[in-house]
Amino acid sequence: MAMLMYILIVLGALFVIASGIWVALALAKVVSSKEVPRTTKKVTPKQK
Amino acid sequence: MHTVSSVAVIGAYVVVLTYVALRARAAREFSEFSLAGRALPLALVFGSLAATYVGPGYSIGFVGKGFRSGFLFLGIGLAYAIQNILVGLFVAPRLRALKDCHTLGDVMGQKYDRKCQVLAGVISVALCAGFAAVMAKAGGDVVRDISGLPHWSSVLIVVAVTALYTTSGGLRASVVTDAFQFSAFAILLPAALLLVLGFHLKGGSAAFVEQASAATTEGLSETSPIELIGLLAAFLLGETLIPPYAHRALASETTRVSRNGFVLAGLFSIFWFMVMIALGVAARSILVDDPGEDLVLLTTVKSTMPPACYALLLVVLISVVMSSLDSLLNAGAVAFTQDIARSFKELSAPLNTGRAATIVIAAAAAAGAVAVPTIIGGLLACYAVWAPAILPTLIIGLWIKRPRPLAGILSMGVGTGVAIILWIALWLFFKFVRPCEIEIPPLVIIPALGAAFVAYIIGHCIGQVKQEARNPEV
Repeated sequence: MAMLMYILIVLGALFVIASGIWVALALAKVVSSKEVPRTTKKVTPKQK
Repeated sequence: MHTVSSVAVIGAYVVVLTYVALRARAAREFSEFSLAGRALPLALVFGSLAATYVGPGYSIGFVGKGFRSGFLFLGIGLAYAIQNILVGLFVAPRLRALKDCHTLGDVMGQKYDRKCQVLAGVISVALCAGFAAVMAKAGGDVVRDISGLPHWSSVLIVVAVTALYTTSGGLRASVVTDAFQFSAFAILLPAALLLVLGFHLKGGSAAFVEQASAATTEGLSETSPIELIGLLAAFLLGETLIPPYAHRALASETTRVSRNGFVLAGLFSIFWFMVMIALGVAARSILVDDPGEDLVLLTTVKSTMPPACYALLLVVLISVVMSSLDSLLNAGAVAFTQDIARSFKELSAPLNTGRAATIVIAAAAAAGAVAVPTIIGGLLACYAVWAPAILPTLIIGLWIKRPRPLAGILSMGVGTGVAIILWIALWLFFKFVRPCEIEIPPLVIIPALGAAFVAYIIGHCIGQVKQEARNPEV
């Protein structure tokens, strides 16, 4: 029982670390992209 | 040598954070400042949500609770996880599906009327400032530990740095820096636990389980059933859809991203609480003296890790605080601009109003930090007002077909009023009539919520009668 609880906590810690790595990779993709995606499209006079 | 490595670690962290904040770039329009153009992908919504709720309470506070009362707070924390999952499944997609909504006040405005929007805006701004004051106090504690500066100047440093990038980049800067800060603490704090469990725990897994069992029994015996119910209610409802979370639901790329972001954040919280509490339990067999709840994490890491790791942990803890603080400053500023300022005057430059409001709320938070007693105590106080003030009106408004404005106004007014009056009355009672140490806010939340629901029903019935009298054919 003690060992089971211990293993569960270690697995929980590994899950949290994996979540951190997932978000870090997604963030790296966003900040390293040449153009950080703008959220609002600029309308040029031609498009108007 | 140790000082050099510590300074190098802190310097490297600050450089990377600055780079990330600069990449987020300054907001050019109010829609970017408030909702990041409604284009946030799943990983950023999840990371930012988790970074916002994992503030000092759910890190420093939970380690302290693990030290004192073992896994009792994991059970209480589960209420929070369930709340996040339910919001993800049933409320967040509905919020995201609404058009032209920047804030919860906008939702109230669309579902009820302008008066409800203004009242929701006032409550949102006040609560964001309250929560921000708790974060500022916690950030000040950590910076004081690192630098030895007086508490007030430590608070000022944390608040000023956070306000700087939030003022410039708005929600996008907040979300992007949150994601970075989330990665830092989600990797480093569990790694600290694994190191403690692997190399510093005397007696191995058997001793750990023994400590956990002893602490949980102690915690249960020291908590009365009524306190337990109050705590469960506070964790289940107190932080539900507070403005920063609602903004992330509204700013998600799609309704699906909104739903999945909240569900994932809820599931993550279960494992996060488990890790934090396990750190607190492990600390029982490492620390000789009781350092006080809010210092268990810092003292454990200080006594088990090399100085550079300790410095890194301190920086991570500042990140924990800043990622919550920036979200609250942005949410409060957007609520002020959209729900209050715009209701009274057509704004020619709402972006500038939002930026000015960020600075004012930051200043209020820094000033209010001195009045915050403890981190968990401060958070519970905010929960006790938020849930009765907003939740009945918001949730019912999203679900029923024709919500009546009178019901919204009455519910928000009565919920806020009852929470504050009951709190003062109980404080006086436990101070002078029957003196004892007790957390008052969890006792307030259920009666105040009940009063808000009753007020809503009364308002709805009166509103219906009035409408029928005005227009008998409807």
